[in-house]
Amino acid sequence: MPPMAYVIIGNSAAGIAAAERIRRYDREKPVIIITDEQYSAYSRCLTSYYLAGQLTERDMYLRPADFYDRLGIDLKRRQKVVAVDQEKKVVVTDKGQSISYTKLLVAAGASPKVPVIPGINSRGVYQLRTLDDAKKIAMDAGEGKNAVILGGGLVSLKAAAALWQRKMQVTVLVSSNQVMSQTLDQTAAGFVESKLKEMGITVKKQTRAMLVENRNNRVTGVRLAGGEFFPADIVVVGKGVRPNTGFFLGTDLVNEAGAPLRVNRYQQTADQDIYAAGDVALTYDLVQEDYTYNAIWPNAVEQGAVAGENMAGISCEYAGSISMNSAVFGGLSVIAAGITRPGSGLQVLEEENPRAGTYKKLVFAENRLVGYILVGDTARAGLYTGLIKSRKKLTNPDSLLEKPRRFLHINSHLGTVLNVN
Amino acid sequence: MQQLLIDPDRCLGCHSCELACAVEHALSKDLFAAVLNKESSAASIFVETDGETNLPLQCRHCQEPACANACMSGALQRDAETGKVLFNRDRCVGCWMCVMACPFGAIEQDRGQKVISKCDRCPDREVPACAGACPTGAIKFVEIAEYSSDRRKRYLTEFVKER
Amino acid sequence: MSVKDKTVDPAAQQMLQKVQADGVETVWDRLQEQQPQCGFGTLGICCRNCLQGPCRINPFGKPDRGVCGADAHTIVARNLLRNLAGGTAAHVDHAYDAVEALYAIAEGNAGYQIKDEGKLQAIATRLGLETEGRDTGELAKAVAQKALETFTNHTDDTMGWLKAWAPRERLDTWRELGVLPRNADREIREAMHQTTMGVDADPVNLLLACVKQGLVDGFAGLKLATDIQDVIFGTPKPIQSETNLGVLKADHVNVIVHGHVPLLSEKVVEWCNKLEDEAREAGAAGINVAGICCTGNEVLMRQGVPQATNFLGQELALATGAVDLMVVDVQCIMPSLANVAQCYHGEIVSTMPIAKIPGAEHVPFSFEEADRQAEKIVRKAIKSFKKRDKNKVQIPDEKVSIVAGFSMEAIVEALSKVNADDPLKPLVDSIKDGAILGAVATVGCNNAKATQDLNHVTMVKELIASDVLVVATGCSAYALGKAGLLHPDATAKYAGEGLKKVLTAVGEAAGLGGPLPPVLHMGSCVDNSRIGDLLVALADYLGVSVKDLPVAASAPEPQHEKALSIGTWAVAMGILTHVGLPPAVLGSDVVAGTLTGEKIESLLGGRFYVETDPKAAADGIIKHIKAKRRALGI
Repeated sequence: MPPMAYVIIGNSAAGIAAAERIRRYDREKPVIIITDEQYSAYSRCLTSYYLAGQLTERDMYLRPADFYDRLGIDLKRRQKVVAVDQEKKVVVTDKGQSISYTKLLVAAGASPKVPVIPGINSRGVYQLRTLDDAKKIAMDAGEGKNAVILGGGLVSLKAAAALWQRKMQVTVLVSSNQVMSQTLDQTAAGFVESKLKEMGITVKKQTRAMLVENRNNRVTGVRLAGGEFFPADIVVVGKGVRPNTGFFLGTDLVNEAGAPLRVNRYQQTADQDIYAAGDVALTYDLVQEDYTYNAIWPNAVEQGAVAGENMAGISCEYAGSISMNSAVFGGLSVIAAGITRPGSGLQVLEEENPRAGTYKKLVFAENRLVGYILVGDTARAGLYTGLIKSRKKLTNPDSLLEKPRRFLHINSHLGTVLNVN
Repeated sequence: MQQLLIDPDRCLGCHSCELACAVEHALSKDLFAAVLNKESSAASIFVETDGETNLPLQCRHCQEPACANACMSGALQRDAETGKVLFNRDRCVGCWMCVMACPFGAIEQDRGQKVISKCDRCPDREVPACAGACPTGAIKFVEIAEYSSDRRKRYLTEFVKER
Repeated sequence: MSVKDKTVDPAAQQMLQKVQADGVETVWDRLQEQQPQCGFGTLGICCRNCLQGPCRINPFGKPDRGVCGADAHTIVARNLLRNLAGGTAAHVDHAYDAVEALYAIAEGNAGYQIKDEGKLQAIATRLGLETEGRDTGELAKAVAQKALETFTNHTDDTMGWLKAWAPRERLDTWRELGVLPRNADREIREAMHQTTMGVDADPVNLLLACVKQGLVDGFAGLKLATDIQDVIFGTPKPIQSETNLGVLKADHVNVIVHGHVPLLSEKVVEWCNKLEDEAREAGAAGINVAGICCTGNEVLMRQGVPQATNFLGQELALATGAVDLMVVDVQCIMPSLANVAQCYHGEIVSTMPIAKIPGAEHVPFSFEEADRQAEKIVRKAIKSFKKRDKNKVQIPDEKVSIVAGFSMEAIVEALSKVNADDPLKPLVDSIKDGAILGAVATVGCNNAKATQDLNHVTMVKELIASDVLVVATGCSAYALGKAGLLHPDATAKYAGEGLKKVLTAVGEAAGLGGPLPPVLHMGSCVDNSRIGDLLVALADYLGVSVKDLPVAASAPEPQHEKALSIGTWAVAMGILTHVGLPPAVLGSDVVAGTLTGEKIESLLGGRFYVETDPKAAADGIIKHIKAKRRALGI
């Protein structure tokens, strides 16, 4: 039997959090991180800032240069995992290497979905996920050029804003009738749309891109189903992501392409030696009260830490995830968490002040806060997030419409306030 | 490890801690000079009230800091040795992810500068400014062991009022 | 805080060690316990003027207004005006007591006489009263009437005492600014009204009202009190005495008079002399009276009663264990005296209806019964002496010889020995030829936040070494006395060459057999009016305004609201006024900037000057004096 080793597939939020947590308890046994990229851990969420020219590559790195040495982590770069042999407990990479594990964490993240549109593979059509993606787009970007963004989600809008900052003519083509339809309701989306318009970004809703036109395989624009044409020097596609679980396809862990890995409260998959965290994992959602795919940074970090702790032999339960997002467009801050587009059976409190440019929406299920949207004034949003997580029943939900006092749910967190766990 | 402990029963709501915090984080670290020279500064401790009890609240430097977990730029990190949740202003991009995550609302947005501000537990002082300024001992900086289990229990049992 | 940080007074240092050993709490312990002191209060940006408050302004952001909408500038200016009204009220009330006494004397209802008929005549003449053919009683009544009108008239006319004594140029300046006070009570009342919720929000208008308070204090407080007290008790003349706790006598009954109004203390001194035999019967060698604060200054100036200690030393005097009784009237009396007295045997006797202290015995004072009350108090002291525990007695050796009693009249008289026809000429000539660079008045309190006496002494030594003539009153005079600066020997030791020459010439001509001291003790804090009189006379002589003189005022360790109102009067007179500790105005750059800035100087001629380092303050003052000299072409 090979010596004990922790192997982590993925070198981002969840992978790093797990490695750090393992090292908190186990300084001895090997920790191996496998990444298909060439970089030390960097923040994918910052790629739009890099694209905008706001940050340099150096600013992207999450940890100091000596991080892997200091923690005794063996970082295997530019190796893509192609298979996992659960029997032999071996990870096989595209370089033909076989790496044995005793505990494996799959934190391989997700990849952008690419829609099936003729011409989508033309040069000049990009996704924005990795630093390399950002570098490529940045090479192509330039003042006065046209950019078309396919998709109205958070990543798409961040890309749009970044290219706008590069003084490009930016058009966002959205298939639904609002931007950020996964995150915001129509009202909040309206605030964002107005802000984008004010910035000079064109947003076209309820569109269907039919064709990416090109000349000599170089993109020239996007043709809509209705025939309308938007010239483009760059097209950025942002149509969501799918988990990188291909190497499990055909095992009992993944039964269809692009399916996430379902985990228990210990971040453990159906294989007890294989853990999953971050954008590959399907976890229990506190407010949906069901397994939900919440591919966001904070969840990845927390799940990675929980997985790492369990892998190191310390029992640790994950409290569950919620979806939450924060975005800033041209100074307009938007934060949304939990259920923001409630179905029947949920109560809603709303307050909109167009003059002040603020909007607040609170969603309750039986007097429990289960979701919120804040637009314009997002101060102390975490009090609401905390209240959602606490699952506490409120006697006076109406009072939450006021500016949240830091007292809000101190009681439920009192132990932590006083540092007396 | 020394911790900032709060005894809400003793807080009279004088806001002295807030003022001392702002002064400590002003360039001159001096009340008169900071005011005379119009140095910009802001407190990272906040005296709140529910109408019955006052609570001076600053970053709790949590063991499992939701803010640092949410921080996508690496600006917020917990220092394992000191237990402080440290903030590196240069790395902050103003995404407000931490603001979304902190369950205490202890992180403030500097919207002009597009960075957050939070308690740094006064690296230049032996006793944090807020604790030093508190006239009633509602904020204390003590070895955690000095607080008896009785006392902890009292906080947990008597202060909690269901609303 | 080490003993040396608390005080430079060696006797006080010794007593501090004793109280520490005895486990007795003093002002310094309480200052320590008060730390940290509230920053909002320190900056003056806390408002408690209505029940919607208290409100405080965040100097670094929001909230930047109180509940009513008042901003930092309004709040700071309102608070300052209330402080000034408090200080002014204290002096005016003091003066009122003196005037009432004069009236009672005129009516034949008081156990006092008029000691200085000449001054009464002079005052009456200045007030435009008919003096011919009127006896002293009638004249006293007429003067008292005029004085009462200064407190309370029912016209819009300017306050009589101000109109009679203020120089024309000042009157015009004040009239133009609209700050001429009508009568004292009305202006104090108006200040309270102006600062109450929802009245004045304009910091500039409030600051003008502050100037008005300063003028009320200067003329209806200081000047009026001094004038009437001189009439009743006599105008001081140079007199020798001693200062510091060493003046207490182990074998005597020790009585201390403490406070500010001399009406009762004069009588106590009288009865201490009368009851010497009773004291001897009780086993004492006699009765020894000593003073603290300005009551002490009053009886020193006129009767040569030695001085025990100044404001910060009041508790320490009791700690000697040798004080059998301390009789107090009003102002600057620490309520803690009763607690300290309990730890030793001394008794505290309060006397004024508005100043009672839990733990002290109250013997109510009245003009009619003053003698009987003084007698009663001294008998109490003798009784208390019998209870004294000799083992607990520890009197420091420190006592320093001083010369006091330099009223304006006394100074002119001394100068007239040099030039009988033109007494001010020698002084003015000395200023003109640069032998005397200028003059500075150091006044005011001790403040526990500053090392006791350190600012006073350090600053004054710098000044006199630079040929600046210093006159002093109040607790400043005590501090300088304890440091030896009120003695002729200090002239040789500390004064610059020019100043030394002049002081020696005048002193010898006046028959003192040596120089005048380099610091002239002019009296109590109400006696700051004597300094005003002197400056007005000098300016008159030179044909200039007071604001043009090479002079300055300083409160190196201010503590009381009175220091602020006196200071404002000085600024209104056109004098640069240094304060060694900043008042609570720094929360408003408008208010702080106005009080210390060029604008107020251009309007009034004077301004405040805040400097906490006494040496830097002396340098700043000297620079100012030199600038004034240049402007005068001397």
